[in-house]
Amino acid sequence: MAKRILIVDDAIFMRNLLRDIFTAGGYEIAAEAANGVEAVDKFEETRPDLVTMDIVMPFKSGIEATRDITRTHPDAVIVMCSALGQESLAMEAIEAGAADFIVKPFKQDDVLAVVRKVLGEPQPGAGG
Amino acid sequence: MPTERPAAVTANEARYRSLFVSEAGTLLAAFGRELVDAEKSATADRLQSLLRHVHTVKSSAAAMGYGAIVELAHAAEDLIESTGKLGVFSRATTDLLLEAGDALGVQVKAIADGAAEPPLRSQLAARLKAAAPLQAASAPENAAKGPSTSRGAMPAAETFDLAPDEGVPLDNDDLPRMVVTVKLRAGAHYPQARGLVVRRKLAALGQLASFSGPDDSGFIRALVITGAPAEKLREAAFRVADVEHVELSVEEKPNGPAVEPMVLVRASALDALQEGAGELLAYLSRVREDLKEARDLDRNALAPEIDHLRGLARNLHAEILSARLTPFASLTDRLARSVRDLSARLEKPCELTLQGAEIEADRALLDRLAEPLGHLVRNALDHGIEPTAERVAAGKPAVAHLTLAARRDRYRLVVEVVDDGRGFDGELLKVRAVERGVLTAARAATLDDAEAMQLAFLPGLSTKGETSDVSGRGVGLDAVKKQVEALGGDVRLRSTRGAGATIALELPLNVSAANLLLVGVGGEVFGLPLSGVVFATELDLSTLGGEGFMPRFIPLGGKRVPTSALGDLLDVPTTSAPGPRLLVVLEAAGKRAALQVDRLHGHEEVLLKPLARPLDRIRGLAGVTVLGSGRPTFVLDVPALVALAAERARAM
Repeated sequence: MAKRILIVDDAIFMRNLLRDIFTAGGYEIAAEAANGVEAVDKFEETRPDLVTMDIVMPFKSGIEATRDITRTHPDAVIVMCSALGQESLAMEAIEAGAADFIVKPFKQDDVLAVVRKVLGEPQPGAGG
Repeated sequence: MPTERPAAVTANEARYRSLFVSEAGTLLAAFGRELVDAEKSATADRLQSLLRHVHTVKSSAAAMGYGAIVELAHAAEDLIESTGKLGVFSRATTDLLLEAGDALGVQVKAIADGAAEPPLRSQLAARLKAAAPLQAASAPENAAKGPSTSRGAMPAAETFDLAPDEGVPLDNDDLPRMVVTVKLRAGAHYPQARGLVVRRKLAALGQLASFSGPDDSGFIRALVITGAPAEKLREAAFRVADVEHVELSVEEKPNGPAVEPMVLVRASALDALQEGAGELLAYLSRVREDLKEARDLDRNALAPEIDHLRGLARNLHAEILSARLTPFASLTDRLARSVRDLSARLEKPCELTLQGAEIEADRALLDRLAEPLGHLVRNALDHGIEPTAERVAAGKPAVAHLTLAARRDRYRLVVEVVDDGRGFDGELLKVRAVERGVLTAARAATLDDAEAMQLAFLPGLSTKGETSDVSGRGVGLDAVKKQVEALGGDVRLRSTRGAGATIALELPLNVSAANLLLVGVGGEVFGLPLSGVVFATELDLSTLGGEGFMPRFIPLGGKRVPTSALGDLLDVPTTSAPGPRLLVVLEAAGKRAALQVDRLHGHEEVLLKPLARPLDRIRGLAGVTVLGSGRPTFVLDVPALVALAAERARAM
C-alpha cells in the first residue's frame, strides 16, 4: 500500500509542487496544511506515514509544530523543508524532533531520495 | 545547490507559472504594505512576516528557475535580517526595500505577460547586499538586543556543539563500545545538520561517548556504548539522508586521552601555502565574475559548482591562516624578560601585567610587532616611569606598573602598552612642534589635548632632553608609528600628565588577506578595508542646503562628522547623479569621516600587495590588489583618508 504523506507549507506553489512530486513518486497525499496549527490538526486527523514541514510559516512555525507533534507521537516521521541559508534553523528543527530535512531549491529526485531513505525504502536502481 | 527545475514544473510549465505569478503578486503587495508599518515600528512579528513573504517568493522563483528574482529576494532577505539585528529600520532601508519590492513586482509582471524573466537592470541587488552586512557589522553590540528574526541568526557552534562529549560517565564497562563511521555523500547539504541527525539517531540507541565530524570529506566518527545490535545502529544511521556508507567495529579497550599529533612545519612552507590558497581564491572569484557574461544556461549549471569550489578554497585558506596563528604569549614571553632586565638595570622596580596572552594572531604579524613593542616597553621604562624617589614624592606607589594587553576588536588586533609613569605633556609637545616648524602657533592653539598627544608621533618630537643608552635617541615614537603603519595598522597615544600613558596599536589580524568594500567613483573602483568601515548610508544632502550642496560636516549619531567626496580626496572626477548621496562612514583612531562615493559594488576578500615606488608616497593609498574580475584596484588607507577628510573640512 502506498505510504501517505502530509504536506505542510504556507505557499500554494510549494504545496502544488510537492503534491506533484510525491504523486509521481507513487505516494499518496494524506492532506495538506498551510501553517503549523493546521499541521498539528491534520496530523491527528490523518496519521500520515511522513510529514514534509516548511519551517517559516505564519501562526505557528514548522519547528513549533514539529515539537508539538513529536511530543505526543515520538515516532512521527517529519522531514523539514529548509532553505539555503537556514542551516541553524534546520538544526533547531532536528533538536525539536524532525527526522531529517531537505534543502530548497530542490530537484525532484532529491526530494524522493530523502523520503525513501527516511522511510527505509529501497532507492530505484539501488538493487535492493 | 541544485538549480535544475523539478520535473513536475517542467511538465506543467503554464500551470506553475500562473500559480507563481498570482501568489508572488499577493505576497509582494503584502510586503509593500507591511514595510511601511515596519518603518513606524519594527516589531519582531513584522520583520518575521516581511521575511516570510520575500522568502516564499524566493523559494518558488528558485523552483521556476527565475534567477534574477532569487538574487534580488535573497539580497532583500539579508538586508531585513541584518536590519532586524540592529533593531532600527531606517528610512534609507525602507526606501531600498520598497525599491526591491517594486523591482520584484516588475519581474513578476514581465513573467505574467508571458515573457522570459528579464535580466536585472539596476544595481539594486548590489546595493541591497552592500547595505546588509555593513549594517550588521556596524553595531554588533546591538545584535543581541534586536528582535530575533525568523531565519534565526544563532551561531551554530554555540547552540549545537558537535564537539566530542565530555564528562560522559564511562561506567558501562560490560557493554560493547561500538565505533561507528558514517560517510556522507559528497556535496551533501548542511553536513553539520546531517551530522546532528546521525548523532541523535545514535544517541537514541545507547550512550554517546564521543562524536566528531562531519569533517571536510564527510566522515563522521562516533563511539557508542550500547547493548543494541550492530545491525540496528547501522540501519538507524543509514536511514539518514545523504548517508552513503556506515561502518561498525567494536573497540577493543578504552583509549587514553587523545593527543593531537604535531609536526614541525617550515614557516616559509606555510607562507607558500597561504599565498597559493589566496591566489586560488582570487582566481575562482575571477572565474565567477567571467561567468556573469556567460549564457544563462551555462551560468546556472556552473555557478553552484564554482561557488562550491570557492567554499572549499575559502576553507583551505582559513585553515592555513589558522595554522599560522600564534598566541600573543609568544611575543610577551620575550618582552617580559626585557622588562625584568631593564627594571633591574634602571633601578626602577616595575610590575608587569599581561592580558590576552591567549589571543591569537598571524605569526608574521606578531614577528613584525616584536620590534615596535620592544621599543614601546623600553620607552615606558626609560622615559615614562619615574625614578622611585620621584614616584614616592608624587604620592605614587614605589613599584611602577606596566601592562601589555592584547584583544580582538572585530577585524582588528589591539595591543596596548600602559604605564603609570609621568605621562606626556600635551602643551610641551605643542611648543616643540611649533619650535620645529611643524605647526603654526595659531594651529597649535586649536588642538585639544587628545590631538596634541598625537604630535608625539612626529619625527624628532621626543620631549625628553637627554640621550639614554636604553632607548637611544632619534628612534622614537615616529619609528614605531612607521613600523605599525607598514603592517596596515595605526597607533594612538592617550595620556594624562603625571598619571601615565597608554599607547594602543590597532592592527589587522593578518597581514595579507583583507576584506574590502568596493566603491565606485567616476569610472574607478577602489577598495576600502572593511576593518575601517563603520557603515554605509544614503543621505539626501539637498535637504541640508539644496541640490549640489556639499557640507563640510554632517550630523551622525549626535556628532559632527567631517565629510568629503572621496573623488576630491583622490583627485578623481565623480559622476554622481543628483539626489541622495551614498556615504561610507570610516573610522580610524577613534575618529570618523563620511566619504561620498558614486556606487557601492559589494565586498570581496582579496590578497593585498604592497605599493611599489613611487605610489607608496601617495597619501590615501595603502596597497593594490587584483579583484575577482581581473581588475587591478587600489586599496585605500582608511586612517589617511579620515585624516585627509578632517583637514579638508577644517581648511574650507
